[in-house]
Amino acid sequence: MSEKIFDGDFFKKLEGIALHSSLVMNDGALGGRKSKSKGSSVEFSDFREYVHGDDFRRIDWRAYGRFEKLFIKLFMEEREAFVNIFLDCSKSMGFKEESKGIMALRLSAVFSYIALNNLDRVCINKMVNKEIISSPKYMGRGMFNSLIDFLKETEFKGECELAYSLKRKNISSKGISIIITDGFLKDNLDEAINYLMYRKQKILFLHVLHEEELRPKLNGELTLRDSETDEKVIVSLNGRVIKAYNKRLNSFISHIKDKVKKSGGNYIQINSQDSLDKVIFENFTKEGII
Amino acid sequence: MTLADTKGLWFLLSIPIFILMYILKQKVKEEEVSSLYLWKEVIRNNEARRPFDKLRKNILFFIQFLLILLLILSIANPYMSIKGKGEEDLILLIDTSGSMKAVDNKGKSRFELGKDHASDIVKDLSKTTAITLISSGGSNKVEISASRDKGEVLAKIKALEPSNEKGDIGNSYSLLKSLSNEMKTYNIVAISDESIDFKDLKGRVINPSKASNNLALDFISNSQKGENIKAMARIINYGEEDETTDVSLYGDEELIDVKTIGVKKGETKNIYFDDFKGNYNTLWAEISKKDSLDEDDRAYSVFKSKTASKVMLFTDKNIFLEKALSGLKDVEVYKGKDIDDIPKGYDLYIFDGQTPFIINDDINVLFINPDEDTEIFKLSGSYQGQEYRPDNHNITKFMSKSSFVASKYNTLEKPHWGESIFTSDNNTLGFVGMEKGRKIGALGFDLHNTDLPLKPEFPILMNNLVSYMMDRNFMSKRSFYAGEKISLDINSGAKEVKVKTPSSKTIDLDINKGLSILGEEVGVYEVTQRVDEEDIRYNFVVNFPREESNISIKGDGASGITNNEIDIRVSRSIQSYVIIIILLILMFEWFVYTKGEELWGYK
Repeated sequence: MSEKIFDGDFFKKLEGIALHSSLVMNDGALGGRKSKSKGSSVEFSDFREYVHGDDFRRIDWRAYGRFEKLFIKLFMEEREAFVNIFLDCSKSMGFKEESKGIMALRLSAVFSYIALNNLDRVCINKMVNKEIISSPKYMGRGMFNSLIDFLKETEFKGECELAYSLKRKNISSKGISIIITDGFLKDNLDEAINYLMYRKQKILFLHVLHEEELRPKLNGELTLRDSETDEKVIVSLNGRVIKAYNKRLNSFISHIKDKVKKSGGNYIQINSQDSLDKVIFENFTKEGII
Repeated sequence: MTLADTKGLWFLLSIPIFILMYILKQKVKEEEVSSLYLWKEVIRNNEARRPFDKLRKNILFFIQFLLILLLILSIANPYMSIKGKGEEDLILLIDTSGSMKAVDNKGKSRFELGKDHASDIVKDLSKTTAITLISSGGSNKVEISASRDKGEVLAKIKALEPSNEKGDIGNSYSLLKSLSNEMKTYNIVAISDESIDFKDLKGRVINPSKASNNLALDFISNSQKGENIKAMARIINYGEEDETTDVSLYGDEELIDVKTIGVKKGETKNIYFDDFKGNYNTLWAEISKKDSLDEDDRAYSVFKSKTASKVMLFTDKNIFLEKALSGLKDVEVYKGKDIDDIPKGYDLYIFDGQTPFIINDDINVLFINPDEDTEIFKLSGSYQGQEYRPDNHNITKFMSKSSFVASKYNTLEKPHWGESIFTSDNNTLGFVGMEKGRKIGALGFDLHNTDLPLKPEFPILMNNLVSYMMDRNFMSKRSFYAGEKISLDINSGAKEVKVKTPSSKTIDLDINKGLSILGEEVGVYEVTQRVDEEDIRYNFVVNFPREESNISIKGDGASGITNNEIDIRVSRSIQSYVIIIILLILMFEWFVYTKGEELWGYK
C-alpha cells in the first residue's frame, strides 16, 4: 500500500512541484519565499529595523546611536523555519480505501520536501487516539527518504483527539503548523487552533474530505455505521435529509474556515479524489500558499 | 356481486407472503460512513419528521396491499347484478309454431326476432346462471337442460327453426311447473306471439309481434256431377285492413281459374269455382297477394273423383242391405244370380249369406253372414243373444258410443292382415283388411238377426264400409294439418314404401318399423308402394293449421311484456373496471413514491 502512495509517479510530480514552488513565509505569515529571518539565538546574525511589536530588549542601541534608527538584533535560530505537520491518523481518514489518508500522506510529503529544500526543519506528528507520535526533526534534502519511510509506516485507526494530542507536543518556538485532517475529531477543534495560536504557530489547515462526504450518494432506509466507533444509526435518506446534511456540512466547513482565518492561518479544503497536481497548483496557489 | 371464477381466491394465500416480504424488507441495508459526526445532528433534526415518514411508508404498504386484493378480485372475475335479485336460473321458452313465421318487422320474422331477443338475454346472463331452453311447437321439447355453457345455449338457439305446426304454448304450464320445482329460484321467459297464463309461476312473455296483414285460405273442397266439377275455397282476412286479392285454382299443376275477391278486415268469404272439367289427383288454391305469412296462402285437397261404382250383390233377399246400398251416392248395385259364375268388372262383390267356392284374387269382396269357412278366413264359433260393440276403426268410429245385439252370430278368425270392426267378448264379429292387393270385409251376422239396421248409424256404416271396400288405396284421411302424425294405409303386400314430400324430398319407410310420418311440410305428398311388381300411388295433403293464421297481436305486444312483472338478472362482468382501477392506483402509487418528496417540501 505504501508503495502505491509514494511511487515513481509521485516523486516525479514532487520534483516538478518543488521546482516551481516554495513555501512562502513572511515574518510568520505564510506566503512568499522565506528569507533568512533572524532569531534570538546566541549566534548574532543580522539587524533589521524595529517594528511595533518586536521585543524591545533586542533593540541594538549601538546601532541606534550610530544610525539614529531603531534596529533589533536577529539571531541564527530564527533563520530556519520549523514546520510541524500534524497528521490525523484516525480511522475516518482511512475511509474508502484510505483515500483521505493517502492524500494526507502525500501532502505531508510534498510540504516536507519543499520545506527541506528550503533548509527548513520538518517534524511529522501522527495523532491517533490520545497519542502523538512525532518523527525526528528532519533537515536537509538528504533526510527526505527517512521522512518518507516514517510516513510509510502510518496506519489509520482509532480516533483523533487533536487538542489533547497537540498539547502533548512540545512546541517551543514559532513555526508553521500544518494540520491535515478531515475535521471529524473527538474533541473540540477550536481548542486545538487556540493552542497553536498560543504557541505562535502559523496555521495551515488542510481539510481533507472524501467525495462521498462532500456529496453523499446514499438513498433509502439505511443503517449508517461509524467507521471509527462502529456506532450505528438508522436513517431514512431522502432528498430532505440530504439537503439537511449538506447544510450541516457547509456549516461545519465554514466554522473551521472562520476559526482558522481568525487565527491568521490559511484554510484549504481538499477533495481526496482530486489529483495531487490539481490540489497543489490550483487549491494551494489560489490561496497563495505556494 | 358474485365471482364467476372462485378459483382466483386461492391467490389470497399470497397475502401473508406479501406482508412477510414487507416486514423483511424493513431490514435495512447497512452502510459504513467515515464518521457520524455530521449525520448525528441531521438525524436528530429529522427525528421530528419520522412519524410522517412512517405514515408515508405505510401509505405505500396499504396501496400495494389494496392492489393485491384488487388483482385477486379481477382474477376471480367478479359480476355485478344490474337489476334483479337473487340467484335465479332461467327457463327460456321459444315458440316455434306456425304463426311465428309471420314477417312483420322490417323483413324479419317473429321467430328470428324472438331468437335475437333470446340470444341477447342469454348473453347478458352471468356464468353461474343455469339455462333451460324449451322449444314449443306442436309439442314442448326441452332442447337444453340447466346448462351453464352460454355458448352451447346460444348455438342451440341459433339452430332452432320454426315449424308449420299448430302451437301449444298456452298449455306449457305443467312442464314449466315441473321444471321450476327442480330449481331453487328461477325466472321464466317465453318468447311467443301467444299469451301465456303463468298462474303461480314467475314468468314473462316477450312478444315479437307487430301488427300486420294476413289473408289465409283455410279450406278447399270439390264436388263432381258427371263431368262437371265444382270447387269451393274459403278465405279469411286476419289483417288490420280490408284487402282485395286474386285467388287461383289449380288442378295438380294446371291452372284452372282465377277469381278476384275483396275481403274486409276480419271477414270470411267463400270463393266458388264452377263447372270445370278435368281428371285431377289434387286441387289447390293460392292467394296471389303477398302478406306477412306465406304459408297459409295456399290450401290443398285431394280430388274426390266420383264416377259411379259398380257393386255386385249376391243375396236372397235383404231389404236392409239393398236399401242401404241404394242410398249410396254414385254406387250402382247389380244383383248376381249364380255365385259360381261371378262376372268380372265390378268394384265390389257382396256375398250375403252365401259363400262362393272360388273367389278370384283380384276382386274386392264383402262377406255378410258367411255360412262356412272360406279360403280367405275361417269361422271360429257361433253365439246367440250377445251384445257386440263397434271397434275403434275409421269405418265405425262414429258408432263408438253405440252397442248392438245379435240373436245369433258367428265369430270369425281374423286374419293377420285384418282389422276388427265389431267384437264381442274379444271375439271378432266383423273385420276388414287388404289381402293380395284387394279389400276383404266380413260381418259374421245376418242383418236380419241384429238391431244394427234399425240404428240411425246403419246407413253411414254401410256407406263407409262400401267406400272402404271399393277404394283399393283407401286412406281414412287424405287431408291433414302440419305437425300431425300421419298413419299411412299401406298394402299388406307392399315391399317398398316411399313418400315424396312437397319439397320433392323422398322418404323411404321401413315397413317393419311402422308406417307413419310427421307432416311437417305444407303441400301435396305422394305415397308410392311397390306391390307385386306394380307401383301403387296415392296422394294426401297437409295444410297450414288455421289457428296459426290468426297473427293478430295477443298480449302487450308494444312493450313485449305480459303477465307477471319479473326482473331477469342481468349480470355484467366488472373485471375490466377492476383492472382500470388497478391501473389508476398503480399510477397513484408511483406518484406518491416519487413526487411525494416534492409535495412534502424537499427535493
